Parts: sequence; C-alpha cells; structure tokens
Amino acid sequence: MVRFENVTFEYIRRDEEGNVDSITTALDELSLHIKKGEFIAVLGSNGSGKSTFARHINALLKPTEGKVVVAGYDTTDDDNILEIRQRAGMVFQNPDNQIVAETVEEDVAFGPENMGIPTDEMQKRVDEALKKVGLYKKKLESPNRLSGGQKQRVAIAGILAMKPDCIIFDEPTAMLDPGGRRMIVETAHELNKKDGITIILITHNMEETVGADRIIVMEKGRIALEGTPRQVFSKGEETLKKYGMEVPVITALAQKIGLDGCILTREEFVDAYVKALE
Amino acid sequence: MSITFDKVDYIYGKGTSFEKRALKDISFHIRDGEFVGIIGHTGSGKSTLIQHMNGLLKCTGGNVYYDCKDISNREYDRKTLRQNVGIVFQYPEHQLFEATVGKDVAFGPNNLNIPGLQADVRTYEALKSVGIDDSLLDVSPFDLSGGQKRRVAIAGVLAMKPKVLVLDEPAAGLDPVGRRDILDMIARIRREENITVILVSHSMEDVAEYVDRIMVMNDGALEMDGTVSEVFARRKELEEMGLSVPQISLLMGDLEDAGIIKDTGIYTMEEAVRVLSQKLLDRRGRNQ
Repeated sequence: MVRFENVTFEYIRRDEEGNVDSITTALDELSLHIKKGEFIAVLGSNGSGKSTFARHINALLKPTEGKVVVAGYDTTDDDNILEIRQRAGMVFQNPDNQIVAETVEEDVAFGPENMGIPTDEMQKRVDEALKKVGLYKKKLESPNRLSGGQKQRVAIAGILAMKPDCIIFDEPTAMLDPGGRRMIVETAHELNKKDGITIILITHNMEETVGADRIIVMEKGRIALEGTPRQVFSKGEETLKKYGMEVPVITALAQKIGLDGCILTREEFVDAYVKALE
Repeated sequence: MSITFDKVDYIYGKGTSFEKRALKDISFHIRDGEFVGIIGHTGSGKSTLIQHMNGLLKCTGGNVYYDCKDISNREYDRKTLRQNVGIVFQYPEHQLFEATVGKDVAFGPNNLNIPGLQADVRTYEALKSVGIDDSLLDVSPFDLSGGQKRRVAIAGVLAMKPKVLVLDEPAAGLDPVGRRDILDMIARIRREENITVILVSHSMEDVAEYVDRIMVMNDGALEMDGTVSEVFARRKELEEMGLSVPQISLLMGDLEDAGIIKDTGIYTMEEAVRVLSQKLLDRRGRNQ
C-alpha cells in the first residue's frame, strides 16, 4: 500500500540573499513497507520526523532523495497527485483548521465535489460517510457548533467520501477531551476492521497504540524500533525514555508488581493477577 | 492570593441570536497556595472561566474576589491584577514574537516600567526556573525546539512574578517525556515560589498525579469540586460528561468487579503498586 525506499528529506533554510543558511535532515534514508489493511501506530519524540513522514504519504511533501510509492503511484510524479490524495487522506491535529463549509454536509462534500463526482453519487457518498462516523443527524448543522471530537469525525467523513484506501491521522486526539479521544480511536479501528482501510496513527498517547498491528518508533528521521505493541513495550522503561516515550500505565504497573509477560490491557492484567494469586 | 467566585454568570452575545450562557452560577473559593485542576469536555466553559480570573472577561452576574476584594470595583487596580494573575494560554509558543529569547521574556517586566537591571534579573531568574540556559538569551525564539519555545513562553509569564499561575493545557502536543518535564517544572515552581496554581487539563492521568483538588465543569456549571479521590470515585457521572478517570482507577474498578479487591479509591501508581504487591505477598506467605 505504502512503500518508502531510502527516503531522505531536508528542510533547507535560506538567508535573505537566498544562500543556504542551514539544512535539517528530517527523514534520513527511511525505508518502510506498509501492507494493505494494516493498522500502524507511529511514536517518537517531538521533532523525530513523524509529521514529515506522514506528509510524504499523500504527497504534501516530496522526498529530497529516494522514492515514495502509494498504491502503485510514485509521489514525485505530479500527474499522480490527485490520485494519491484521493487514496490517502489525512486528518490533522487541530479540528478547527479543517472546517471549510457552512454545513456538515457541504463540508464532507468538499473533497468529492472537487473530484468532479456527479451530484447524486456524491450525495450518496456523503450520507454514507456521515452514517459511518455517526453524524448523519447533524448533516444540516453548522460544523462550528460541534464539539472537538465531532469536528474531527466530520474531517474523517470528508475523507471517507473520497473512498480512500488509507487514512493518516496526525495526532488527531491531542486537542480533544477524553470522550472525544475515545471516539476517534474507536472510529479508526472500526474503519480498519470493517472497511479494510489502512490506518496510520501518529500519537503521543501510548494507550492509543495498544490495539495497533505494528508500532513504529521514530528517532532523528529513522526508524529506531519496530514491532507489535507487545514487542515494543517489553523493551523496558529506559529504552523507551530515550525516544521520548513511556510504557502504557497498565503495562508499567504490571511490570512493577512483577506480573509475567508484557501486559497491555486491563483484561490481561486482571487475568494475570488472578493467576498470580492462585 | 485567595480567589473567590460568588455566583458568577457569563453570557456571550447578550441580546443577539447567538446568546449563550457560558457560565452558570459558579461559586468556589481557592485558598492561597492551592494546586487545583480544572477538567471538563470541550465547550464546557473552562476557558471562559479562566478568563474571568484576571479580568479579561467581566462577569455578567455575580462577583469575583481576590483576597476578599471585589475586582469589579472601580477602585480595584486591574494592572496589578494582571500582574498578579498570570495566564499561560494553550500553545503559548504561538505568542512568542520578539527577536531574541531575552527580549521576549523581558517584555512583561518592561511594560510594568520596572527599571532595566531589575527587569534583567527577573528575565534571568524566570529562564533559569524553566530550565533554559543563559546561552540561549540572544537566540531567536523561533530557532528553538517546540518544548523549549513553550518553556520560554511560560518564562514570560513568570517574569511578571505572578501570585496565581493559571495554565491551560500546558503539556498539550508534547511527547510523554516532555510532558512530564513541563509538569514537574510547574510543580517545582509552585513549591519554590509558594504560589497558587490552576491547571486546566484533558489528561486525567496528569490531574491525578499533580493536583490536590479537582473542579469539574459541565455545560457552564461547576458540576463537582473536591479532592482527587472524591472526584474520581464518581466514574459513571464523569463518563457521561465526556470525561474519564485515570487508567489506574479503571483497572482497580475491574479488579473490584472481579471480586479480587475491595473498594479502594486508588488512582495513583504508587498506591496501586503498594496494595497489589501486598496482596501477592500475603498470598505467598499463606501458601508456604
């Protein structure tokens, strides 16, 4: 679905005369393959290159060196951009920056409308997308009156209406309350399971990554750690701290009281604790 | 400084079709030196509430008192109020604007007409307490990392020597290590300077770990006000409001439901480790 081949990306700063002032390497010969239908969580400290990575997937940024291929389309070829953006949609951190229209329905229709989809087909897609995120009843309301979590779901519906293969979430829950946070993560999992959409979730919240198929930890534009949540979180506190991460609370508690195995969820904890008491 | 809200009401756009009662009959008292957390769903009135704390918004009903003095009184010195009550808004680094870190932090003291040398001392001290090295004084704030920018922005407020510090989601968007650093720093500043700190947060874990008292806002009303354990004992109600309880509380609830432990009200890691390992030890002792 998504393939990175030795991708390097440099932010080049120039002074007033246009001379190169400084070069920051945000991605450093990154290679990675994401399969169709995978649920990937991306972790890493601030400035580790997570967002730069995400912006390469739908061609908002293009590699300085190397190649990114999305659903068979090379992002460096300008003729491919529309196709890529339709297949890989992106949800950003701040819900307020993503609202473009006066009603929820129009907002969701913005993408497919720009793709030139016929009106009746578009209406069908918009309704379907809104039903999927549970906001169909609000379709005629103003998006500005919605809560943060609801606004983020409008953004997701806007992407769904374009029938994407892949959705990239760039810290979608950072500004939400716990209820909104729960809703967004659940929606992402549902789209992954029911519709087979590939999900790439960038987050600082360790608890949100527990249900992922694979975790990628970034550091200085490279992949520092990679594996299932259990593999990654069993590396121990010291290793994770180096990458600006923590062990999920439940896992940390289990480790502190000496329960065997790497425990990720509350259910696993209760089972393991009962066993230890026997 | 102690803060008292007495039946505070605030209505946005009074008399227009957008009229909204954002604060409803809010009363509370915060003692000098308290560490208070405010939680609530988006749109519950948290931001409106904190803007009343330094007179950025004037209540449309009720009164706000600092050290028992009514701030809506004509004679009340608002300039001193803004100096005494420092508010760090969300993503404060977006408000950095000066050419150097030093100038940015000194902006507040300079506006207070504090003599040059004294303003320099305050700038120096504020940067020291947020852990920004002297060597960065003449660097552009825009060349710093996200976490550093946020520290500089907080230093700008600290340089005013506030007696009350209000922070709206100071750790939002930071990685877990950066998050802990900022919150530890705030807790340390509170101890050292002996000031009142009010922390607005969406993270139940952070609130559980740092504050002594929690106020819960819901649809413009102050729904709960109590110690951390009192508030987190009301899990059902919090969830209905779009909030939650810390992971540890959820787990202890599960263990309780499974009949393994009794109602503990535990919400911190240390307490959970203590109780759960004790139980394991007891069991092992009995088995031998």
